[in-house]
Amino acid sequence: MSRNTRILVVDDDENIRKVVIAILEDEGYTVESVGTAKEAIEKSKRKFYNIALIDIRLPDMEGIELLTKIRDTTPRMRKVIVTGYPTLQNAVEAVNKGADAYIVKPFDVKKVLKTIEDQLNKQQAEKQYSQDRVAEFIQARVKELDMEKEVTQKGK
Amino acid sequence: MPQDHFTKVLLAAIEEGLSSLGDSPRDAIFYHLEASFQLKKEDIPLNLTDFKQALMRIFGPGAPYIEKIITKSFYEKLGLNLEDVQDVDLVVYVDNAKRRIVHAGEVKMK
Repeated sequence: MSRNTRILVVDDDENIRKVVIAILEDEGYTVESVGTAKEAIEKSKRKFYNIALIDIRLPDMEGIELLTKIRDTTPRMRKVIVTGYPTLQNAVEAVNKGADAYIVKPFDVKKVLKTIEDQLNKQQAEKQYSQDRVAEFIQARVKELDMEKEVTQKGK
Repeated sequence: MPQDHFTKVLLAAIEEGLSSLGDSPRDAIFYHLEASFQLKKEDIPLNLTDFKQALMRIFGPGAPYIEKIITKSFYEKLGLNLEDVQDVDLVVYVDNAKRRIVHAGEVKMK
């Protein structure tokens, strides 16, 4: 899955971005990064990312506010909040605003990779679920059309 | 461009467009097109109006969205420009592409 998986890193600290990109690219992910919420909004509008790692403190907007802004435009993208100050309050707030997971700084690489893997698995399961529903819809709709045709033919 | 090549490109665009719904929905559509609409996959490019009508019957107002994705993919494969319009009629746009190719020879295969 890694080769086709795109991750967007949203963090204003260039050093952190470099480290995260190196770690994730090493795992085979395609990684892009931005330093502001505004750039994140623009990029996620133009391209699909499987996951966004969003720092809770950004120069132009709080990470949690960014979650609200991109919730409707990127419903399938998994959003992971990155924070150096984990409190119950901001955990609850992040989840309420649409975060799918939480990563704490300084990074524990194993935990970061596990979180990403878990999120990708959930995304894949959701995708499969919605595809199955579409296939079921098609089947049911065609059955309806067949029945309509039968009724029309009997009526002739 | 020979007709059979044009047909192949169109079929590839149709496959790609339907795949945007996912692999199992795409397979279900091809299966039902053949079983209920007597439209085999390989015959779709030559029976585009029937294909369009079948999509309309299955998806209702959602059908134009699928048509647009297929048209975009088709034009992209042919290297033709497709202006950004709201409604795209697949039959009209395929016909238009054919005319442009025949008369202008402007196709660059991707």
